[in-house]
Amino acid sequence: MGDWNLLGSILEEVHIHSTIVGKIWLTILFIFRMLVLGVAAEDVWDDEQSEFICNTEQPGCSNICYDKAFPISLIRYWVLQIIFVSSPSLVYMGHALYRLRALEKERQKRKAHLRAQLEDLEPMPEEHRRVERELRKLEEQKKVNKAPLRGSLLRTYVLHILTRSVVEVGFMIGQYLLYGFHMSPLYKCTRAPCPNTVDCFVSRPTEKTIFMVFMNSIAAVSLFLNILEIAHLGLKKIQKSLYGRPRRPVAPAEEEASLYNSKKSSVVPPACLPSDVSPPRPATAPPPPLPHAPAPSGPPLRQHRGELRGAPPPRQRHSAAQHHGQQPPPSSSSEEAPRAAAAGAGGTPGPVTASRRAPRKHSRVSICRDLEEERGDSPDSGHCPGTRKSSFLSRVLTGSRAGSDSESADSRGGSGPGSVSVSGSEGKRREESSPPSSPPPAAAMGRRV
Amino acid sequence: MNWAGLYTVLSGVNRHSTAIGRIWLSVIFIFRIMVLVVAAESVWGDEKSAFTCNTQQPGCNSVCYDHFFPISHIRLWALQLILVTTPALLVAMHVAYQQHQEKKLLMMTGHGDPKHIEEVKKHKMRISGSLWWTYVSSVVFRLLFEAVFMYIFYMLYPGYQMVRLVKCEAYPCPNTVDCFISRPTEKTIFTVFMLVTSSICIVLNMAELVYLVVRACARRGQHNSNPTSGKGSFYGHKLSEYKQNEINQLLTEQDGSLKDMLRRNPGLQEKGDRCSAC
Repeated sequence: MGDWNLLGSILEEVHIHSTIVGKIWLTILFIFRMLVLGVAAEDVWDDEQSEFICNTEQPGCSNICYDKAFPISLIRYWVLQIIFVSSPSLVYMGHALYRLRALEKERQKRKAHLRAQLEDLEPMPEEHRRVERELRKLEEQKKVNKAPLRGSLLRTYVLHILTRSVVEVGFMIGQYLLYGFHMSPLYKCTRAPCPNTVDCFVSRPTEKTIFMVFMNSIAAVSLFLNILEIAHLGLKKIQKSLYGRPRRPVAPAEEEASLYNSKKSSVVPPACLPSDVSPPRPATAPPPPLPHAPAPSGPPLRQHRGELRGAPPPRQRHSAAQHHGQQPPPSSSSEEAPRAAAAGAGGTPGPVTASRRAPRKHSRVSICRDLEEERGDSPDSGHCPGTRKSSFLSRVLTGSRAGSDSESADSRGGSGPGSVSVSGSEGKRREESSPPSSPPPAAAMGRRV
Repeated sequence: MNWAGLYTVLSGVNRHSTAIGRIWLSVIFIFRIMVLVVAAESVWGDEKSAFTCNTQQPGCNSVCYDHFFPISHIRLWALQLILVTTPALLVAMHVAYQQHQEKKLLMMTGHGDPKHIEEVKKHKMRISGSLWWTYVSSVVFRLLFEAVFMYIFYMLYPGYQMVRLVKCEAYPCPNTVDCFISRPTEKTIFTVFMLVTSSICIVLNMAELVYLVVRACARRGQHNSNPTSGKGSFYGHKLSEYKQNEINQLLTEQDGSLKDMLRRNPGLQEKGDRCSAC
């Protein structure tokens, strides 16, 4: 067949923005439809008209009868089918690219905004560093290649699958109405100028039947894949609404919410690190005098968070929340809210903030976690004055130790709600083999020591 | 889309195949697809137009041709080649999925910079665990398709041979009619050639299967003697790899920074020396 290259290259682009099932669908389209059409089926229909022979000498009868028997050649029909079935994907791809561009623009705007902020915040070193870090993270962030499938893009996606299915069904019905599932070798023709009824013979009817059945089954498979994809998307949505957000690295907003949740652990100072820190370097992390002092507001709170998240992966929001003991819950997700409530007193900012800040600084020194920043969590926490390396070592060392610490801590239990987060963090620990975060009770342990 | 498109699709898969798999793919492309496109298609080009029956009855030619050649060799070979090469895509999909998981892992452990991600894309996947099963099932499917098509060929054209003359009695041919096939000897030669290459591919697939199984058994034997490595420790293994890399990197960096510091403050070193002296 002529040139499928244009459509092929456009569909390659669509490939990038599809789900797994979409990719399988595209592969089937390419290989079992386009390739088979171009390489095999076309030759079968090549001599369709020249070998359509009618049992008559009447001039013009053959042509007329061929025209009546085959209003549209099946090859052309399949080509149209392929084009129409792939077109909704092009619309979806257009939308995806548009969204990507919008995301990129937003990223650039944010970078510019942060740069402006950077200039304003010169005097305050912590704030400055936080903004700097955020900016750096944005700059390092690799250009997003695939637009996330949500919101209006998801709607377009579902619509495009539905359209595709409808078009597919339409073409299958059309093929059935035109030619059925079987090509018979004999066609009886009574159109003028043919005298009476004339026998006309179709060339290669069996081979054509084989290919008709083949193409129909591939169309049915594609239709099935479309239905599967819709079911898959629908299922995900149902799961999401039933079970809440699935476990994965939390977005900064969420983390903030979790952080604001005062998990009350009376003893424990903000840093989970203290527990890790104390064994390896007691000097650098003197236990804070006050166990119970909420960070007053934004910046200190966020520093707090930075330390807490010092313990590795982001999933530690439970533990982070735990640590926090005393954050006012300005924003809490629905699941956090009850815990926050349970945490109780945590919320009241106290005058002890200042004093708390000092020890926090110490602990911060030991526990620099650029990790979360790299991962793109909310930036701030950057007050580890160049102790990245030391922090890494400590992380590695605590990694080996964390298991035992957490277990001992767990046995001692934490505050009430703490146990909930403990189990959560334990679950999370089980999930990954990377150096686990020091769980809050462990921190508590460290602190008490 | 044509064979070149299929070639580009499958070349990617080549990277994650065994050595035998690569040989197999080369045999498929050079000795089967290329021969099909360059030579066989022109031999079968005039198969219908030069199929002549000893009758003036219109339609008899078509009907007799259809009766004796329900599907042309060329189409059968094309379908065979497409179906035989497609299972490799299963492996490609699985590899892509595993790479995706690795990338996620990298993000989680904080190595989400583009350099590491490129590394993931480039390095060759080890054929173990679930990928092994996918690979083995793709080889089994290949074998199955080859065998099925060889059987179909045998059923349709017994003896894998093209006869010179066929006797046809289908309507509307009056009584029995002699029909003559064009280029029967050349067609027989090419049929035998494609049959032989098909057998070679079957042998290669079986060898690959045996190789995979033997390798898996050998690896299992190693695992049994080495208790620390276990099944399903793919992620643990990867993570410890990354940690080790980071430790190594850190140590070299630290060395570097120490040297820098000493270079910048030569006095320090001297003092140190002096101190050590006393």
